[in-house]
Amino acid sequence: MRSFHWFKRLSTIFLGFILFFTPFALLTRLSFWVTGKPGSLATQKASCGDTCLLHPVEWTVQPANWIRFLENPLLLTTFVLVFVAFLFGPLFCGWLCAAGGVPEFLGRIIPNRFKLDLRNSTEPSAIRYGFLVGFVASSFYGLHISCAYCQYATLQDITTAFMAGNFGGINHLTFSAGLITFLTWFVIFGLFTKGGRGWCNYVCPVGASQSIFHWVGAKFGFTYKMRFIPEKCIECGTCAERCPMWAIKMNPGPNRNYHACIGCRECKAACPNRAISYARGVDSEMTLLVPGVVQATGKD
Amino acid sequence: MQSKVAITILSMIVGFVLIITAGYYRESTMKKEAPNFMVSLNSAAEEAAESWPLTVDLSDLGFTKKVLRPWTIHVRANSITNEGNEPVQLKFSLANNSLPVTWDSRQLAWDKNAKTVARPFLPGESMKYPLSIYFHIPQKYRQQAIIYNGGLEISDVNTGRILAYVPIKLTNSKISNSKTSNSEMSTEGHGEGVCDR
Repeated sequence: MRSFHWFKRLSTIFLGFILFFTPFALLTRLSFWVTGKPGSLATQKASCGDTCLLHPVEWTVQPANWIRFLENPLLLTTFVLVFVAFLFGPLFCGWLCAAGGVPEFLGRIIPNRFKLDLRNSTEPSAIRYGFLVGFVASSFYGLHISCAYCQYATLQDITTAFMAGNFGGINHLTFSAGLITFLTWFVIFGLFTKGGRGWCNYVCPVGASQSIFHWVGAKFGFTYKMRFIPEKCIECGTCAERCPMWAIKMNPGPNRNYHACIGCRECKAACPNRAISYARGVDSEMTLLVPGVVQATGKD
Repeated sequence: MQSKVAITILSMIVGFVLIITAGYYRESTMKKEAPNFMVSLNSAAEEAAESWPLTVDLSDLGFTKKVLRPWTIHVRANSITNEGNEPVQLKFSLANNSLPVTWDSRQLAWDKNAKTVARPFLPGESMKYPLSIYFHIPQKYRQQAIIYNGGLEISDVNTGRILAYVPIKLTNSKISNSKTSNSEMSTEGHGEGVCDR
């Protein structure tokens, strides 16, 4: 069951890659094919920037930039994702995001003994919300963060260069901020961190914004969420071990953290006793930002 | 419980401070490492338009770039606007260059062999990110005070006329300073033009 789940996720992450990233960028191409290319985009190659998920987060406090959503409605994708996150959890992060999926899956090749295990030493969700606030506030300081530290563009630069054999033209590997992004997102927090999603855990503003909506949505009975069935749980800790987002901690039973959960269902696939489900229902007890404060009861 | 809340708040502050610091770091390094330009063309104008000069000092790069990739310099056009009344067809070339260069463009009509945008550039139109130039600096040029001193010529394919010129200079001030302070060392052969540019 686990190997099949692994394959399912890898397939959808590949789908995410061809939807958002060049040379495919199918979402952009399909949208432009249906609606006609708007403005200056008509003369440009498709790019992940056409469906940029970072800028809209930044622009939420910049009314002057809202006009850009009219110029390119594809930028509204971010808001679709937070709506989906409210109802079903941050499924984009867990199932479609290639920038999160590539280091996660490539990192599985590297033995765990070579990896950083930061699960119990920091509070990633809190740091990530701090990042989100700083990311949104950065415009007030006149800083332009989103493009320079963009994991999506870095991935696109590298894969496009590989596919085109144009290794000299990897934009994000020519300036310090881009190199820092590559090193932290892909190497240190990717390949060499347990779970391979250290960047998602600590940094990603797109994931953080979705997590807020998921956390709010999880309070309602009509939304989907990961649920635990305590009477079935044998407290083996497999779910916590397999969770790439470190969203589950054993205390002694599993405590889940909605602020980190990306709905990837690795825990469900890994559970030997089927004590985890992805379902609707009222969740009476919610974890705070710090996992371990409230233990899961899994009331259905 | 209280200590956990305190840790949470502290963690959020750490995240906030880190991203703002990263923003300032980006601001302090970007212009030095990857300068960009904007230029407005007018085919009816008597003189070619000129952008601000782009200068990269290889000894004044950010720490990460200096350590990991100091010998590839990226120069980029943010936008080019046609302010004239006639359509033109853009061709790019580097004056005085003998360095290996990789060219790239976000324009669909980019012809990488001819270094042209193979379509009419209409009056009033503005191209976004029309050009990226990556200079790769070979070993033999790295110890020169002036590695490249030339510029980007933007011309009209149809008339051959140069419409705009962007001065570009790649220097290594550390070499230049050490040469100046050491009278025994000659700067001959390390200046402009030595690379057959």
